[in-house]
Amino acid sequence: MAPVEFEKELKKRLRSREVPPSSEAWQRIASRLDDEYPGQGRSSGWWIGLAAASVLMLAALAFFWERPESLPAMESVVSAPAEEAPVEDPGPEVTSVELISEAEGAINVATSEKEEPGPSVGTEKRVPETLQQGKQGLAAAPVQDASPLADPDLISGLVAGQMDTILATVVALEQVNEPVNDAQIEALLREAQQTIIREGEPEDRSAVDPMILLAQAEEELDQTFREQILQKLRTEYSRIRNSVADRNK
Amino acid sequence: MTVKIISLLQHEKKLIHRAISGKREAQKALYDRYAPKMLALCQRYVKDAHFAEDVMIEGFVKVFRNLSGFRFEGSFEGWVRRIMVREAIDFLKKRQFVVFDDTRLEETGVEQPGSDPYQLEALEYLIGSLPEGYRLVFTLYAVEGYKHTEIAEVLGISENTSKSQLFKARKQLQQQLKETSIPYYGTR
Repeated sequence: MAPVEFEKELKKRLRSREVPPSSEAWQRIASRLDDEYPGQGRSSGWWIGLAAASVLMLAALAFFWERPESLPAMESVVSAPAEEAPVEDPGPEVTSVELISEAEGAINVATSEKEEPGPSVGTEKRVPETLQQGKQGLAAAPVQDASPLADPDLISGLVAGQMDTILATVVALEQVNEPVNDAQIEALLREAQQTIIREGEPEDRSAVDPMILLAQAEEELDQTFREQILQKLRTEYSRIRNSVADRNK
Repeated sequence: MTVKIISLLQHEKKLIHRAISGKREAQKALYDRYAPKMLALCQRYVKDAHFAEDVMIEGFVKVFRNLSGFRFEGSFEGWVRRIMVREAIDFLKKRQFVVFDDTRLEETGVEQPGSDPYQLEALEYLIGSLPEGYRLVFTLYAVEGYKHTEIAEVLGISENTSKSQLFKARKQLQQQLKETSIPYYGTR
């Protein structure tokens, strides 16, 4: 049943007809959309704020994660028990009776301090001393336990020493008319890298410090550190080779 | 003219994309553009003006809810119209008892009225006074351009029922035009 002629006109006319809706119609649609999708179509400022806060938080985390001071601070906490041993020593002098008398009045404490000037000094003085000793110990601990590999001067010295060895080897090989190729140079550099890392480790292994072990583990994981040493060796070798070549010209 | 149409379509495309991302002002712009036409459409199916507006509102909520499903393959207006038609028919199915007279009529020729504007206006009125089933099928077929297979699917009837409803609708329109003494012209 094909559409007849008048229906075409009717279709055109009816499809173009418009009836304005009431003024509340859009409000009703908008409120329905708000109910179903709260927050959509409104200000997106909170979105930007959330994103900015996330970025700031990540930046702060990255900053504190990268800080080198954080590692020694942790080391000092682990090493503290060895230094805190004296804290227990004055125990016998500080009796519970004295503590009670301190609580009852300052006169008893004062007399006990006069009668026993040496070891029986009140807790008020002794505890700060021991704490200070502990603090000193804690402060000294990171310096003693810090991995030598973290010292740039030491690394530079080791690199210089290894460079001398490499150059001596190369010169010796060239003197016997053996051509030294890049692979051999690379092998020598890698060997030097291993030596530097090995020599950089602390010699005294009798005392096991967990923080040093942790630092070593981290260094083993940190391949970039090894690569840095190797890169330094390569740069140094290239520099010396170029300067020797320039001199020979 | 063509350039203007392309520019309008591009503007509409941008509006749709913004509306998909939840921009309320873009949704409002689309609503302002199509709401008057869609309300007229709804009123062709739902006679009560308030119910028709309710249907239109529900239809627009569905439009914006499913806007991401619009594939930009056909016209946006056509896509919105189809949603409105579905919504109106669902409303009628829920609220009213739509009867489709399934008796077949002998298909004799239907005399056609002319294209005179006054006749068309009278026809609109007469279409509105058709029984529900006739009116639905006639409007879907003659105004919305649905095929009988589509009408059958939308209304949940057979294709033959759709065809017979259309025939009866045309016949009744012809009869009413005669009774109201509106001049019409012979068979096409």
